[in-house]
Amino acid sequence: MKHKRLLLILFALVVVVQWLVPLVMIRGSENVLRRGELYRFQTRPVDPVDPFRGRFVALGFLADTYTVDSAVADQFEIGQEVFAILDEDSAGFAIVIGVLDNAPSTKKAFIKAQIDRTMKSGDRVSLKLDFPFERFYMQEFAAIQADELFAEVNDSGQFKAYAEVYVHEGKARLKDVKVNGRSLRELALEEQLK
Amino acid sequence: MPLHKDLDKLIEAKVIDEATARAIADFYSDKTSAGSNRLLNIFAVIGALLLGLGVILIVAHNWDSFPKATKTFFAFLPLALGQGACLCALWKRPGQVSWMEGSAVFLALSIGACIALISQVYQLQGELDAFMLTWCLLGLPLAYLLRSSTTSLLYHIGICIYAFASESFINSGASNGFYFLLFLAALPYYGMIIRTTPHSLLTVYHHYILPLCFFLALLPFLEFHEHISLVLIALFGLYILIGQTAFFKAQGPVRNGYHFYGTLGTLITLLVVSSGSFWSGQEKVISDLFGFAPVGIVFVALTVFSIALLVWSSPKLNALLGRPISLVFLLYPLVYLIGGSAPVLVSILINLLLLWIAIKHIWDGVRQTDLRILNSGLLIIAAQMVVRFLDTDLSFIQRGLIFMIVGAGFFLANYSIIRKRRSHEA
Repeated sequence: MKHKRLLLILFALVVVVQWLVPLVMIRGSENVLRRGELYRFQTRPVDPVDPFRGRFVALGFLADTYTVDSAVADQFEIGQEVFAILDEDSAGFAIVIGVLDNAPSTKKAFIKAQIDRTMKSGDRVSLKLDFPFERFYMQEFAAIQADELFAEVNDSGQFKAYAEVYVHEGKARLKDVKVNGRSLRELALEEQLK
Repeated sequence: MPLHKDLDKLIEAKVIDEATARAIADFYSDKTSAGSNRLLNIFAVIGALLLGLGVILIVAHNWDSFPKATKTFFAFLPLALGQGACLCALWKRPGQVSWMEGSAVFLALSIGACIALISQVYQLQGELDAFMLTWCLLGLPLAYLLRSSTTSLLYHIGICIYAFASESFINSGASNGFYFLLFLAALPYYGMIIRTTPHSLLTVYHHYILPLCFFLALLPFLEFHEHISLVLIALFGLYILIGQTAFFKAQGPVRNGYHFYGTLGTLITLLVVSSGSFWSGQEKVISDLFGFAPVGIVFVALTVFSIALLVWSSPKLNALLGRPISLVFLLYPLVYLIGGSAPVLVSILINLLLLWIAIKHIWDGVRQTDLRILNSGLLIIAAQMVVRFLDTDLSFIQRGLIFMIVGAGFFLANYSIIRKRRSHEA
């Protein structure tokens, strides 16, 4: 009897933790959406499948490359976590104005990123950054349509495709991907129904 | 003819009396009803599965049109159902293996589904290794609480995937040794099922899955280092010694996963390093080995465990020499030390070691009239020949003759064993 009671108590604890983990994930995400500042990241093309988490549209960003002097580049290495400081250009799209290896004390918005690779050109080194919002999860078949539509849009250069990202205290949350102001989900569903 | 007519005839012929006839009729009607109950259960399960799949497909079709709250509800639904089933198993049906196993596995899989769906709904990014780590850590307690061996097996597979998916491996950065802590966390459960259900099929699956997963997870940890053959020989040597302990020997060869992987792994590694070209042109220096800490640490740890196990089992020298494959983990490091400076000698020594192992197998096979052992020895020689075929400069005639001799050896050896067996039976 005692043994059974102990098992049930332990199981109850496990149940609490199993609910807490996804709820904390949701809370963290919603917190960024509520308190964060909206940035629009212009996209460029890159259709992979995550076998466990479903179909998504892979996103690449025009702002994901930042150039520094060779002397400064020595402090960075591939795979290193860095902090990218953000601003907006004249068209209202997000740009990276600085990359630091420690959390900045500036009031400007910043996000955590990772150095994917470096490309040397003369005295300058371009740092290619991996942003934490490079996947846009969609319903399986819509994602296939979206991939094709997205590639078309980015290749043509006629349309403005961008990701809406909320940024708060270094955390980023991808809200939507839009093409000329219309959600990619909506456009993909329209293509599906044609 | 229906049973009741047969029974009537038997009563008429006074072979059986009426009471006996009634007992026979009752017995067969119970069997039929048990059989038809089982069939009904199977159809009920198929029906429930199809119903469930239908619901999932309808939900999936309308997924994008659901508000976020509805999607969140569906994401948590399997988790809640799984937890309900586990609670029912623990409270109302403790000790019923089918309930405990079934509910634990369902909940373990639901955890992964819940996290995956939440990630999708809320666009939460993250790498595969973080996802697998969270999933495995949340699922491990179920193995202990519900005594679910299937959950334990899934856990080991999950942490193996985690080891491969970890960022450090993909980017060739610092090695991530966290896998070993995760492995240790599940070992007490393995120890418990060896004690309580040593002959259960799920326990036997553990004897195969655990050593395989451990070996696979070691590869990214060691970043496929050039000295990896030292570590692999040490690991397979440990597996062989575990497989030769009294408990695993009593399991028999089919249920002894350690012996299987240890033998196969040692032979394949020796075949790979038996070529002279593996050793020439490489400087094999001790400092080089310990220059990459993970390789050095793992090698030393495995060798120490193996020596401790060897000493604990205290075999006689004759018995050790009679099992040359058990000594490979001790001999190989000595050979490895001189590899860089004497590649031809080392290559010859390794080939002789393989030959010794093969001849011992053949000899044991002949003595015990066991075709399996005999043929495994012949296969080792054949594999050696195939590898030499690829890396030596013998002419086609010479290679052909050698193959013919070995092939004839196969036939003769098998024929003599079969004849010996038949004469014993006669």
